[in-house]
Amino acid sequence: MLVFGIGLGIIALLVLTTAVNIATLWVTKSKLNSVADSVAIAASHSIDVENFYSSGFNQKIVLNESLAKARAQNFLERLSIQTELKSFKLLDVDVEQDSVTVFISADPQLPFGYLIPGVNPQIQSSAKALIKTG
Amino acid sequence: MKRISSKLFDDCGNVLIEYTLTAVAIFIPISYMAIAAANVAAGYIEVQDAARTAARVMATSSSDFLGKIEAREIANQLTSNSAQVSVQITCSHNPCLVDEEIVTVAIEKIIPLSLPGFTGFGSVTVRGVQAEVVQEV
Repeated sequence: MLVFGIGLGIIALLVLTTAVNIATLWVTKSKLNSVADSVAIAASHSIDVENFYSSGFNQKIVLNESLAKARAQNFLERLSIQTELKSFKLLDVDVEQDSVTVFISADPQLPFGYLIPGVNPQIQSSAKALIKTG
Repeated sequence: MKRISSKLFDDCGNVLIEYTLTAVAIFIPISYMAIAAANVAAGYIEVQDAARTAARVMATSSSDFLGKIEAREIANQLTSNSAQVSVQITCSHNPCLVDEEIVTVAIEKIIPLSLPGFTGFGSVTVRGVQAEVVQEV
């Protein structure tokens, strides 16, 4: 009975720690999704003004890639998100005509991460924002 | 002492009774804790989503006054049991809705845990924060 009880106890604790770790991953992913969303919106208003003046209102709005990157970076610095999320990185800001896609990543702070040594999970998230006229 | 020790390591016994006792002693508390952890995670995601929508409503509103009312309303609509919810709206500039300024919505919610009172964990407060940049085109 003792061996049976200890065995079941270990399995139950394993289930609990896994549940807590998965919940942490889930929460970090949700937080990253929110951050990616707001960064994409902040970057999406980087309209290429020169192109806008030369092509006029009838053409699709074109975004400026370097301006979008600078705006995304500036927004993140103002938010000081690095203090909230461990190893937060802005991976890429991809501009395609009138849309901008932001890719970010962070490490989840797993409460029982020490139970899985050598495994260093990294969560990535992306969000796309589109500028529309008319 | 010897008798207790020999009983403890003795394989004789009724498996149904032993399994029931073990289940009560281990599985029920563990299940309660796992459910409580899942409730906290679900509550956190709920307030985070509500904060995201509320911040966007505030950042795209036509005026500070209307924006704050609408953001609070949407935050209360998107969170269940809104009596236990508090909404804070802060701006990096006064008035809020100025180009390139940041609007931050923080929502706090008390999540009651279904754990017995003696554990001392009656409830947990989760906080969702979202910042949005105000943009005028």
